[in-house]
Amino acid sequence: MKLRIDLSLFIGLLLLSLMGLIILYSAANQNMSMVFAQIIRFALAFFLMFMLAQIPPYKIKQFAPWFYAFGLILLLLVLGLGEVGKGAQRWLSLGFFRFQPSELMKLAVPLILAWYFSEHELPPKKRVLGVALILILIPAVLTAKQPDLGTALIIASAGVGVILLAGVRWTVILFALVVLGICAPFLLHHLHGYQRERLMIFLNPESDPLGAGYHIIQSKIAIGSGGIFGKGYLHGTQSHLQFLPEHTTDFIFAVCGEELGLMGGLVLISLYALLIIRGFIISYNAQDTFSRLLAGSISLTFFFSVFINLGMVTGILPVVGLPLPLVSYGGTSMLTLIAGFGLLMSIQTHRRLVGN
Amino acid sequence: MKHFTLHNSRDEIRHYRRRIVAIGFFMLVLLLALIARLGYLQIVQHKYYLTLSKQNLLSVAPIDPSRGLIYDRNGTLLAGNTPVFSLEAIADKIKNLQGQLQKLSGIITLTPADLDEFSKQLAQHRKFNPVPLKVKLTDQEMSAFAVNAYRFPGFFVQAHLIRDYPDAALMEPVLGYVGRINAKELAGVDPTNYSASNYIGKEGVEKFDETLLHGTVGIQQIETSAEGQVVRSHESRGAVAGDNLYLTIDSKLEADAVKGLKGFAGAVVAIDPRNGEVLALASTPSFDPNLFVTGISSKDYKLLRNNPGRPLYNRALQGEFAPGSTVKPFYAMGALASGMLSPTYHIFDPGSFTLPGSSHIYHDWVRGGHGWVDVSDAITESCDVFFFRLAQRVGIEKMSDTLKLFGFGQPTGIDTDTESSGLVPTPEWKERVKHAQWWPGDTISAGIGQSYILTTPLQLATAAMRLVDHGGGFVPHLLLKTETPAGVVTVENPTPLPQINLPQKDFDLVLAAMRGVVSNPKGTGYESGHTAKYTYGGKSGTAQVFSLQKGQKDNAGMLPLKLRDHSWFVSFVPAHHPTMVMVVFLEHGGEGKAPFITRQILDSYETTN
Repeated sequence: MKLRIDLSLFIGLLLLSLMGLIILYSAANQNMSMVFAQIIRFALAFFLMFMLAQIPPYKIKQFAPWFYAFGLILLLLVLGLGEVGKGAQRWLSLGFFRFQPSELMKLAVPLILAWYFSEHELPPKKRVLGVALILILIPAVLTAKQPDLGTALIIASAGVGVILLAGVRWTVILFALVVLGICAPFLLHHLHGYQRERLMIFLNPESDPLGAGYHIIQSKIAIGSGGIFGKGYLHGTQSHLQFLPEHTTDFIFAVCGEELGLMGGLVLISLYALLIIRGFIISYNAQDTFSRLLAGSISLTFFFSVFINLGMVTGILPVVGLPLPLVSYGGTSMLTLIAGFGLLMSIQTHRRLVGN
Repeated sequence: MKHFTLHNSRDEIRHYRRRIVAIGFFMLVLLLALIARLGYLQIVQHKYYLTLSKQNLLSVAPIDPSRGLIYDRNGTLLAGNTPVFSLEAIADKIKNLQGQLQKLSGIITLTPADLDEFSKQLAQHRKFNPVPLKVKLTDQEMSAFAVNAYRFPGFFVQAHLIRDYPDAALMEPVLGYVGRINAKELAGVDPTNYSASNYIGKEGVEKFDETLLHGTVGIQQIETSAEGQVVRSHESRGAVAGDNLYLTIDSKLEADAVKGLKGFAGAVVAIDPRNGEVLALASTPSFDPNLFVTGISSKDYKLLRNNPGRPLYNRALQGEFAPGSTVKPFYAMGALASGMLSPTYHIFDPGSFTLPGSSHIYHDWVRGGHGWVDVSDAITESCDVFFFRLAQRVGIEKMSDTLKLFGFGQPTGIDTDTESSGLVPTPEWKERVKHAQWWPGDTISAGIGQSYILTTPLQLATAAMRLVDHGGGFVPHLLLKTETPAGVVTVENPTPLPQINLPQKDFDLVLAAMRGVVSNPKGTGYESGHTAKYTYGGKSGTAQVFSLQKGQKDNAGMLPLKLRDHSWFVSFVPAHHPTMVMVVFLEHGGEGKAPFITRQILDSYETTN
């Protein structure tokens, strides 16, 4: 039995994680133990990715509804426990390690949608579309309730991406956008207090220079002061003088921007773009509806994770609290994203030669 | 496979590929927008941000709002703020922190507790934020540091307002105290609003009304040079002080109560039955809350904790004790209302009672008994045998229901931190918690407020309020009104309790019997009360802590203090249309002491009012 692996995805991921570790080393004030902890997480994630790549897509498809149901139950469980604790509850503790069920949904939603659409005629009828929307909305709303707006946004946007891929007419999309625009004030009203506040702060960061506005202002100063070539690796002042909060997690890109400049940012974005393009090519060449939609959806999820984080750090999107994939310190988000690449590899490497 | 022809059809694939290219193109546009944004920040605005980062560092610092003051109902200050000078440090600007602390201790007394708290606080703050090292500098220390300040870059003296309780231990049971905020408390509040705050309410009103008292953080912009020296600062938004609180407490009465309790461990709770306002809430012994404000030393804390009088324990709110005979009026109410007891029903009390088929003898507190008594006499004279018989007839379920109706066994809902709920036992409860059967004898002793029944002094006062108010009454509360810094006064409306629907004539009968306690020569409060220049009613109670052998009495006070009876007296004054109900509780006070303390407190209160 040969090892099934997509070399270009693997190399891309390897380069990206390497760059991530280099940035983390500086962001963590040259704290090697944090870097080691991160390397162990990478090793685990890559191992999981290789395991998943060996499973043929038809088996993954059989597993999809169960995985979704499992994830949903965990999500409800965590929300129930959160109600008891009267605070934000995103974690489920398994004793030896903790994870966020909402992170599972980042894979489960693409899986269930790909499965559901592949079981029905495409382009989807209204009823099928309705069910698909419900399949997206339940986990998205539950996640937003935790409250974890960032992950909810990714789940929702990736889900909508799959619906687009499944072939909804553009007029329907246009109609949906208009409806969303009308509902926006209503939705805004239902956001948690601090989420609404953050949105307001995004519109006017100077209104709250002590809280979330502080993040945006400091992050923009760090990035802007980096210029084209940066202040040099390990020579950033903003992040090291602790002016920049969360500089190892959500705001780590500011360290990259300050020390490595526009050039560093371009290299990082190019690496992300290469991975996303490869994912799209895999989707483009996939041989059945399930594989196609799954590959497209996973790539979209990855894209939105990158885009929302970078948008937030550079101040073009509100601060929703989301790590930068493969660069930010921390485990769960990285694990699901890399596992997604394992599914992409499975789709790519289990293709058979068939004529159209 | 009904859709087989469509799945994998050329059309579908072509359609899908068109879509994916379109979406890919859309994503490319988004990525380009992101790159354009980076270009804008890093090329076009580079100079602007570089300047900002160099002077940096335009940072913002929070300003601590001053904490709201607390007054009593007459405007006497109970909790104020007083300026102190504290030594603070910014960790980021200090090289060799441990060495510097060593040197500092040569000119300023730094206790291990100070250093301990300092390192705890360091971990909670950002490195570039000031952290207090020693809160209260003496004048000598101030000048010693001023001379040597140049040797200690990163350390500086800062003026602060800290909490000050002018009456020290007197008001602690009401107010609680503030102390240094810890990480757990910080997690429960808006961290931005507390970014300059060192203190938070830890107990009592200070904790319960924290959100009112704290105020809103201010912002000042500080320009710091790259070396970390403050160049200039200006306020961009002033801090808003917390609200001032006016409590329902009458500090004169509180002082009278504490004076009355002198020499005893005990509690006094007084409530105005017309509105539920708590006029006094005393617990002795108490402690000086000022000790906790600047951080109590572990030695002082140990002294407080190991003190046999348990000063940290708020008996008025948290103490749970057997109510003894003070529950008799409530049982009478329940039995009269249910028709199981008629006002004319009377018994002959020979001085003892036995359950049929049992050899155990329950003695009346009066040797030889009270003779012929009806319910009214039984309350006035506190006849035990009458209530033994009543308990036997009514049964524990109905008795417990009556107590619950008057609010026993549940928190009163008073607006302060940590009250206990007391306990109203039932056979199910005993089975579940004590893993033991409910014996008929348990019911008999429950008839005189023993066997597992527990109440807090506050709870008993609240129940008494409901009794004198003929089933009405209000949630007891401490907050009278609030006043914002702008001078806007909000008066708190009392919350009425749900009406207890029992016949008004039964209330009249029981209250008349309670007036008899003081006015009738046979009453248990007559000796202490009949010479008073004002009228009042009440009910005494003695709760056994230790079972004496039958026939034995602790007349000579020979029992060790810990085994002596608790003494209660619940009173209302004046006897008709009362304006105050008061509970006096003496822990191990010995039988019959509380009525005299009650008289003493009422005397000194009435002469000045």
